[in-house]
Amino acid sequence: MRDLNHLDVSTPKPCIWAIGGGKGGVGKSVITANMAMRLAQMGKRCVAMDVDLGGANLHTVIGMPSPDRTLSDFIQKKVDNLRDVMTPTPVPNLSIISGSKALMDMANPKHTQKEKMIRHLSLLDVDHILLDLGSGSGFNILDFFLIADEGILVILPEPTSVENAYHFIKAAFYRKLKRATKRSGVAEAVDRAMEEKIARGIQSPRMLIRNVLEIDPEAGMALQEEASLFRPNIIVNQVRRLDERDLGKDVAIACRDYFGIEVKFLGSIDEDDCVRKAIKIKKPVLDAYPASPFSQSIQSIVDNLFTRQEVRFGT
Amino acid sequence: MGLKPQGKDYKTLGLEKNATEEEVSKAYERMKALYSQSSLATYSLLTDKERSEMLDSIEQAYLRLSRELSRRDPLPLFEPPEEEPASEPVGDKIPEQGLGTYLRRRREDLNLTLKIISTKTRIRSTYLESIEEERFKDLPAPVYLRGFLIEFAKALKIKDSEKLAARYLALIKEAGGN
Repeated sequence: MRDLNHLDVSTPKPCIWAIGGGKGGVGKSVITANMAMRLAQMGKRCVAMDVDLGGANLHTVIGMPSPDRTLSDFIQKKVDNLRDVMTPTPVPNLSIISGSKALMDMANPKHTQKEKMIRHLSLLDVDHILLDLGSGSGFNILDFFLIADEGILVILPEPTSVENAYHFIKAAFYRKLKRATKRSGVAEAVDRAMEEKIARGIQSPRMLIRNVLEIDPEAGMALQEEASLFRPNIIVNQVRRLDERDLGKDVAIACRDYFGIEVKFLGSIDEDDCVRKAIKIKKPVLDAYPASPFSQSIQSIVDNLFTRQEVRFGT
Repeated sequence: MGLKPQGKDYKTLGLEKNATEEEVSKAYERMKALYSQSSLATYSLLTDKERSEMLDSIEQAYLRLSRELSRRDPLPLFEPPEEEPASEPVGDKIPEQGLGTYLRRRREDLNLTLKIISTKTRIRSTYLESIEEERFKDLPAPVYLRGFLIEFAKALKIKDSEKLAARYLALIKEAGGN
């Protein structure tokens, strides 16, 4: 989703994966921590960052005490660089940037703070950055989702989670279009579409683009281009029944048909008691139960993302 | 609305233009389920009106495509009789290899169809078939599969159903997982 200008060979920028999902408690932190652990095992220098400033607990899932330095030191300018709040974990190659001591009023950083954080992210001397986004679909969360090379949504096979996911996808899509277009008329059209209850006429992103194409073909083409760059990924977590395994594929089909958005289904993760057990003993699942179904699924999901990146970026 | 299938009919069902009759009817069932009122995957996504329009276009697309395909490949008037290979019953000893074939022959010895086993075990017959044909990639994850195998083996009166399940799972692991 990010521009391709980071393909500078001399100083390769880190690859950013952001893990979100409209709803709380869908397993974002556990999945983020274990994906990061997998990358570290593969020899990638990796940092897992808690963007969930309100309820950060990534360190616990990784299995370490709350680090002394946290994101709040950076936001409060106690340190100059984001790398100063990176703390090594017991896992080789894996560091963490914790949000754990961030004050509640920092859960919504100001625009400038956020832009600074994003700038500093690309300066970190690591191969991979995994962002554990908070729940909800506020602008801050959406922006981190959109600057990532891969935005990943975690959903559960439950109506509430599916509903939130569609809301998130739509909100992220409109946010992307709005940020991309400064043209008059287009921004308003996007605005109208976001308030779907008022503008019943323009509901889906596909309809929106069709409408703009009629008003202003050039702007419409630009939107279409932007839309084609928006390719979120989904993971279905805590699958209990066999038919729920098809949920990811089905959501991808529905997004294509209805939104005109290509969503990539990365894989589903079966409900697995090992996850709860690992959290209880404060260890990453990949470490405590490497052969568990959960660990296997995480590995194949990471592999899937790599295949995808090779296709898109040739890295 | 014409009767000739159009490009968009394939698109509606998410199919390639050279789809077979079987693929068309599978895709139809799937899309119908995806856009049904009770579908989890499209929950909250569409208004009632959009939903019924979608279902309508799926129905239309299927109608045109299946009509076209049955015209192209008419069904044979009679099925050629299958040859019955005369063979010995397979017995109780669980082999090391060829477990799928063992299960199938065991079932045939008992004169049971997949459908009967499916009703009895509540395992979908497509899974039973995949187990027999050792199509590992079509099988569910080991946690589920183990239970399926045990039920299947019990229905075939295999005494050590646990052992059969363990061997089958080991076979999958050897082949590189499913």
